[in-house]
Amino acid sequence: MNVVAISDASRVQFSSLLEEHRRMVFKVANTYARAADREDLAQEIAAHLWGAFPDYDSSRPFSTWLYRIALNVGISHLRSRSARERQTVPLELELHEAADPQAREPDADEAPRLLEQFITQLDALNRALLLLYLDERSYREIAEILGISETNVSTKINRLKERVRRFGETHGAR
Amino acid sequence: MELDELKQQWRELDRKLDRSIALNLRLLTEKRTRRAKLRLVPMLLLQPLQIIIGLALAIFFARFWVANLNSWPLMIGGMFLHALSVGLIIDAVMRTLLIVRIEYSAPVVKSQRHLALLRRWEIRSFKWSWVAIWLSLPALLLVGVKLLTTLNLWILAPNAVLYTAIGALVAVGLSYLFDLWARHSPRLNAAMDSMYVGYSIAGAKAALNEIEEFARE
Repeated sequence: MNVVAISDASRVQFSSLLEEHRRMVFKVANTYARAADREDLAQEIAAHLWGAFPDYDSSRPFSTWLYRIALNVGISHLRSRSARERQTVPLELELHEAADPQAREPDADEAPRLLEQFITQLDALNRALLLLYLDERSYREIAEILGISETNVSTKINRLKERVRRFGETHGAR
Repeated sequence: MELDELKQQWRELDRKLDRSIALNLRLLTEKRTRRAKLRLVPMLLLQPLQIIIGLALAIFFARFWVANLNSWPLMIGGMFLHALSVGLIIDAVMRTLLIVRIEYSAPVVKSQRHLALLRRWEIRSFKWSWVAIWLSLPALLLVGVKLLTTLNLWILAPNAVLYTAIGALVAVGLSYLFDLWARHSPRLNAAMDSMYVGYSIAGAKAALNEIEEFARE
């Protein structure tokens, strides 16, 4: 909650760092918001990043700092939506047309649709874990971003692998 | 389907996303960033005000009940309002402590735990404040009449105080029964959840449980 004025140099530095890491912001927005809210969430994340930038310690990796803030904003966004809305309007319905998996011919859209369906049925923290894993972050960095031990990261990734396998089986993925 | 197979899809999705989002983050308006920075500040600034009001009321009602030791209904009424004023102070102190612990750049599990604790405190505080308002009615009636007219309502019209107290207890009882009913009715629970926009006690508890479960090895 630092409200001190940010110098022009900091502004330039921030803009450049954000531009370099903008994909991370969009990935988090994509994971936690519906299509209609995605742009808003991306801006919300960027605004939080900008607000917290005066406290950023440049000796530490920018990506870790960014991920922590972006995931916290994303998770808060998801939690602030009502449980009812979450149950009735799944994220993937707005990304890809919902269709009965049994009735569809396997096509190029099948795999991304399954990925999005899988993400949607995860809770907020497991979504964060999956996002970081898919983004090929090291176990150490994932542990640092989430605030759990590396052993715990490893255990939870293994559980996710198992869940993906079961999900694939029940949704007819080859 | 394996988790590592999803990585390829993730990369593809990432490429599509990068192309499709035209938003330029550098174009964020100053207004929006300023608003985000100051979001928790008003909430934090309100707490010292609540502490000051609570303190002033606590002193006022303490002086009242000390001055009315000869009439037990007035003394108890004053003590009750004194206790509520202390409750106001405790509520503000607790909320301040919870707000200052929230740091979005902290590890996700830690900040989410603090946010969930703040949410739970706010809902509990909201619910208890309704109970306090109802229960304080007979005390306010006694103390108010004494302060405005110097008359002791308990001596003049004890039934007025008793009926107000009974009415307040019935209102609290009905609220409690409604709460119990809501807990056992999924439809009503969902409606209340939707009304609070995910800020129900059940929602706060579920979020905390989810966080604790995730943090556990």
